[in-house]
Amino acid sequence: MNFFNFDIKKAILIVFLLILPVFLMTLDRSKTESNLIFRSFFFINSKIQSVYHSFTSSIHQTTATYLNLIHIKKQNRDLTVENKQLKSYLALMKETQKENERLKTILHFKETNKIKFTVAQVVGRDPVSEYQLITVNRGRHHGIKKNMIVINEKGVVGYVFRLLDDFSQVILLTDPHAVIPAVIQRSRTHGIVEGSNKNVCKLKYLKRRDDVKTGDIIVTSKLSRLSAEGFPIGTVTDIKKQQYGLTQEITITPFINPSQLEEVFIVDKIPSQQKEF
Amino acid sequence: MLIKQKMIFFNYLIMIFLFFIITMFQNSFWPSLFGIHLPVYLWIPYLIYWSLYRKPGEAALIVYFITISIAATSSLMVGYLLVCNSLIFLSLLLFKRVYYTSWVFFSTACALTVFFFPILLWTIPQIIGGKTYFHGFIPWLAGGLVTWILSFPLLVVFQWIDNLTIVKSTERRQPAEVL
Repeated sequence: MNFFNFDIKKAILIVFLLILPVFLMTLDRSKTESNLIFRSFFFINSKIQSVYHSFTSSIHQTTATYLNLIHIKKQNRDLTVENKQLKSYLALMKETQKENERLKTILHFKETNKIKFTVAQVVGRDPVSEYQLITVNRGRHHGIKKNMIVINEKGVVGYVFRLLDDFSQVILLTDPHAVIPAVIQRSRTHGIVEGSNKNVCKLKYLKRRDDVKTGDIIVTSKLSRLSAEGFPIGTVTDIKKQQYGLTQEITITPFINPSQLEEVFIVDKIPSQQKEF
Repeated sequence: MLIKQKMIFFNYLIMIFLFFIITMFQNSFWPSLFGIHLPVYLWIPYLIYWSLYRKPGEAALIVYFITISIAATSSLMVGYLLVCNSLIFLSLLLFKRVYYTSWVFFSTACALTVFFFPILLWTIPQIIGGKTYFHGFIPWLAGGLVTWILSFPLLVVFQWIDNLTIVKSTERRQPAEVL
């Protein structure tokens, strides 16, 4: 056994290669990750992910079509019944709509614009399961910019983190590196939402006496660099106050389920009238 | 000599291409089938293969290659991942001076690394100062087990590529000969 017999030159090389990470850790993240090598890797990875995503989608679609064929007869019967019910509701709705229009005119309500957003499909996940970054198939060419807020039908998903021409990476609000300025909808108390783990987030920097209750809804704040105010993040599920201390520890359960993201909406423009989602 | 160099180059090319295929399979295909609660780390068998069966200099460069590629699709900082991968590489360098590079050792190294990787990933930011969290015991154990199982077919593929491209300069050697 020649355990202590080794080449000194190779040993020096290895030691040098191992010391380098220490210097890399001290570098500014934005500078390190915006270089050409990093972007090249992001580009190659995104292209391959896109191919995999197309393959997976076709599998899902084929399976769904087959399953639909099995249940189509039962579904048809149910839909016929539902259609009849909806027709009766529609008649009622027309009346309500007319009433609504009349009331709007009376109250001089302005017609609010719809939110402009870009629909994107999730093509890749974070390779390190402890972190949560998703890759979506929309990028600079589609008008996406850094820090644009990303939502789905339930609430805030995260924000745009890195960009390529055709792809972008979205950091989920449950990721440990995600930081979103937020406000408690009821009491208008401001704080910072930070990712904690797969299922929950933390609302930080709230004073000990700030008004917060379990069940309160947390929305994005106008102080946010994400320039997207009033989008729902989650509900307060736990409040912990230490005997001594300036702040309180608040746990939020997000409205979104990070494991079930397939399509997301990247918010492009929010009209000034839009205050609450 | 020229043919040999060409074959080595060809081998590197295939191995790098294979790396992208494997990791993107992990990032894109795997979560869409099994969700995010059964994580796998398929780059770890790849890193272990290079650390055990190739020259230390080549393996050290692959550590950097893997790190940059993984960090390009993750929110994890490059430095942390590089420290983790370098520690894995260094541990394997030391261990392979004692053990033989058989498939049993490869699989044992894969199992140990996969189970220790999340702990390492959690520990380093705790020491240096940074944000991290532990995914949970069940995903950790299940993911580790699946990665370990998948390391067997991966080893077969890696060895098949090496045999196909006849890489004599970097062939599989006994551990004591390598360093």
